[in-house]
Amino acid sequence: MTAMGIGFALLLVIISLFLIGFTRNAANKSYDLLLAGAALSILEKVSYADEEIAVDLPHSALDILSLAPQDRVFYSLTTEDGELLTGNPELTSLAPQSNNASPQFTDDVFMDARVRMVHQSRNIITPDERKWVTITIAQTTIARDSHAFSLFIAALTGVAIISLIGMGFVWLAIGKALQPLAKIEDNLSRREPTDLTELQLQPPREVAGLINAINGFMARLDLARQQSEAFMADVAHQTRTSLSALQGHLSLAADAEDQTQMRRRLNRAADQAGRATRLTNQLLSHAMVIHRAENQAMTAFDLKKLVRDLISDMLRDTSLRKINLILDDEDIASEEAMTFGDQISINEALKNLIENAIRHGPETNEITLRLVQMGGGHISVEVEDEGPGIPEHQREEALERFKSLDIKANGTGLGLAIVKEVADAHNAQLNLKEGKKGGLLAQLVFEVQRLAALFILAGIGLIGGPWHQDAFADPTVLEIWGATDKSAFQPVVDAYMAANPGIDVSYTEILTTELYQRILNNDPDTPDIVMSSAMDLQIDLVNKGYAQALPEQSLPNVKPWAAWRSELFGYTFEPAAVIYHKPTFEGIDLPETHADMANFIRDNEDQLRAQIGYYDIRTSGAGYLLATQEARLSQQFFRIAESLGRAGVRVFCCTGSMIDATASGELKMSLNVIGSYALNATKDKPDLGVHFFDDFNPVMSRTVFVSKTADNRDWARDFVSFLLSDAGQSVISEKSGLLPISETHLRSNEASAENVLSIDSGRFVPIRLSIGLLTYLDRMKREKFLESWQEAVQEIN
Amino acid sequence: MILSKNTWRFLFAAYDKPMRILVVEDNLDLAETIVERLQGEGHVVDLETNGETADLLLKHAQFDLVILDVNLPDKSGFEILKSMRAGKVDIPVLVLTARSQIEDRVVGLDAGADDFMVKPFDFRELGARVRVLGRRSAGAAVNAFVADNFTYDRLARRAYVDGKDLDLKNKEVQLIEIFLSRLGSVLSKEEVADKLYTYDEAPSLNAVEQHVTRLRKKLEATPLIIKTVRGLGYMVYVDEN
Repeated sequence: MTAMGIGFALLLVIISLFLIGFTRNAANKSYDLLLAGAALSILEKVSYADEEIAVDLPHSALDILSLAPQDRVFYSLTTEDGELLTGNPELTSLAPQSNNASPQFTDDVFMDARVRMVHQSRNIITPDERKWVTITIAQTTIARDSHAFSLFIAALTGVAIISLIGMGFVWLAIGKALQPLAKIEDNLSRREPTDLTELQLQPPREVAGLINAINGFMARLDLARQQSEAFMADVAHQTRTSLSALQGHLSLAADAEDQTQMRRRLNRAADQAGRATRLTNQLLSHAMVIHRAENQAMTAFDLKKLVRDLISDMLRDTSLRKINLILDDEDIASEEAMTFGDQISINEALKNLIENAIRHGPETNEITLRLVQMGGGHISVEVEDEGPGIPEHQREEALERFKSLDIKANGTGLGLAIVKEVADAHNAQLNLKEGKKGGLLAQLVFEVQRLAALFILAGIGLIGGPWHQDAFADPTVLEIWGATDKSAFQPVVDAYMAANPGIDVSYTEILTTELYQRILNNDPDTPDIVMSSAMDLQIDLVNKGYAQALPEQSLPNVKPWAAWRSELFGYTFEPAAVIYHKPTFEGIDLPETHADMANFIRDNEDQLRAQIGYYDIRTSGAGYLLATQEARLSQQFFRIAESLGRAGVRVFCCTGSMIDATASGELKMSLNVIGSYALNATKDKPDLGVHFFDDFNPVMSRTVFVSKTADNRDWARDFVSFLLSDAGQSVISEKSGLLPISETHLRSNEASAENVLSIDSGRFVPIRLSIGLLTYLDRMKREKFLESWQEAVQEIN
Repeated sequence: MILSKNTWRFLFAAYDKPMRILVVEDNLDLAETIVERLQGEGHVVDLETNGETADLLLKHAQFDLVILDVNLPDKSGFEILKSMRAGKVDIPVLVLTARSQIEDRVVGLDAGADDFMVKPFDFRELGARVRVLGRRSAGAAVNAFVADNFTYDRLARRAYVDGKDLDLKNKEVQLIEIFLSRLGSVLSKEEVADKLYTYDEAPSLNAVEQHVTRLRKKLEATPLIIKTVRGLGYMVYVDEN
């Protein structure tokens, strides 16, 4: 049963190994398509222009890869000279030396993570030469691993179900196949003990062997029984004959005519009694030896001591004093004579050999007992006499029961049979040879017990206590770096500290790009928590492994579009908005779509000249993000940019200055400002109006992650869950001037009074936290986009 | 002084003095034959069929030899033997057993039996063994060991053949004493050497052999036989023919 269990487990292991390979392959095949698609779409955008090779990184490339939502992505584009055109410089070292126009896939480790990589090259024709350009994309393997795992589980479930069904069939088949056994059982149980005739069944093929075996066994049993009956008959014959002779001598003695005759007959009776006694002894000895062999009464003992004791015992018999017994055991040290066996049987066998030697030898017999080291772990006991020996052709016969070769020697014919039984029971060899002096040399060869030390390797000490990390290195100070105005965010910090007395939260305000750079350069003061409104930069940091994962299920209010890899979370709702100077637009409806806006500016470009504000997207991270996302969402982006250029748009660093300028009437309107600030500003700036388009308004989110090297890991996690909790969202909604991401708190925010701020309304299109955001971070892409934008807006101040 | 053989017999009266023997055997048929046989040889024999009574009897009455059956109905022969030896009763004991197994031999000898015989036994052999055991101890009481023309005076530590002093050397006297105490049993050469030499003397097996050879020569005319079992040791017995 155990063996079957082990076999089944082994089979499962083999199937599992096969399945692991198979499913990994299958998962690789699917996900490699994504990598290949991304590589191809990037290579297609590589071109030679303005005396250089450039790439317009297609948004689709990274979008395709973000279909594996948890995975990080790195890419690099290099020329055959090793020059990095764009992308991750560290990745170039993993690129292959050869250039191949079809995608090549490799597995590697990059930034401490296992990655699957695709390498594909393309030949670019420049005026001077043809040049190979190679794209290398590396993607972490989380999605394909989990895909492979789910495939594996599904396949294994299938295997398990099939196994169960198979076992069911096996069970049925066994039941069916074993039916004949019931017949055998019935037949055997109804038999008389003496009935050893063959089973007369027509067995199916499966059990024919068993029936044959049973029949064979019964045939042997029958033979053994017949032999045993023959033995009984022999014994009965021998003892009865012996006793009859005794009786005869005694009755003759009783009828004797004189004293001399009586004495003579009595002496013969006494001799006969002696023979009957010896016969009985031998029969008992024979029976005992067989019985002991069946009961395996084996122990380890010293053969040398046994032989010495046997001789001493035998020599007590005064009738043996004339016999010359010689012991020759100097070949053996006693520790070499440790033998495994039944001492009593061996003693009996040797006694029989010695008695045989005495009986068959001459009056002045010299009997030698010899212990000989045989080599190969064997030891032999030899008994040699000076008798006539046994002729070679009779030696086999001498071992049979009741075969006494020399009638005059008064043998019972059992002595050697006993020795043979003992030898067989000990796997010892019994050899009959001719001794040096012409007598019989009986040799018993035993195996010497080898004492093998058994070492059990026990106890595998499980070393390595629980891995302990002091998560609360400095439990009093939680370091946060953020890009949000300190004045706006401080209420949130205060609320957290109020809820968790004893914790000091230190909030440092740093501009988005500086924050990004400092984290990227592994600033020694790296905080526990990093917060920024630059979603793309945050994505890049997380992609490069600067964040640690949080148990997501413990976090409330997490929006699918505003979370990535359980590491980066959006906690605010930041729609882009149009702000305007209310008095200027008294009675005028603002355009409802982006297309209308382009037309509106163009139609009124003289009235609006130098009075429209816009982010300087060359320096403002938020402005660049909003602009690029708008460009993705709408064909109108460059039309608007063109209109703005013709109307002499003015660019600003920040939303705040645009709000101030618009509220004062210095600007008639500003586009793409951060809506939350604007809505908050309307409270004390009555002339400020906030307008949202009807077709779409991109929505950003401020994001937060716990730094990988956070000293206060547990407090940092706690703070992030506070930010997303209802309590935290409510503080953000009511005290920070920011808009909460929680749908509930967003609806109850006073800013929702005029415009229903909700993703569900369809007007507000969220910018998803995904790998796709890296597209516009690409150096070449950024240069190209800014170039196009600048061309559109023409001269700007 | 040369004394006649008969005078020696008269003086020490060990050899022919009938022994008082207790036979403990529950099979009456066998017991009777044993008793009759031993009585025929001139011994005074008591028969006891009950183990318990035999045990009590042995604590109060004096015997020269006990023939003890192992298989008794109420108390096994071994138990009686143990209780005897525990009570410092050191009469020689000949154990009779119906089983020829080594365990019986070992247990019997360990419990303090002097000899054992397996049933059925030859009555002549029984007689011979009884005489051997009788010799071992009977002489001790009168401080003399007598075997036909050989006499050993235990007090004087002198041996005589036909009344003539054998003039044994010190080691030969020791040898005689060792052999007489284990009459009829095989003594290994090592055992003899251990008894013959003190810790200070280096026991040499060759020296033992030389002493034995010399002693054997001196005993040539006596029925005392020193038999060499080659490879094992010596056995001393009295040749009764």
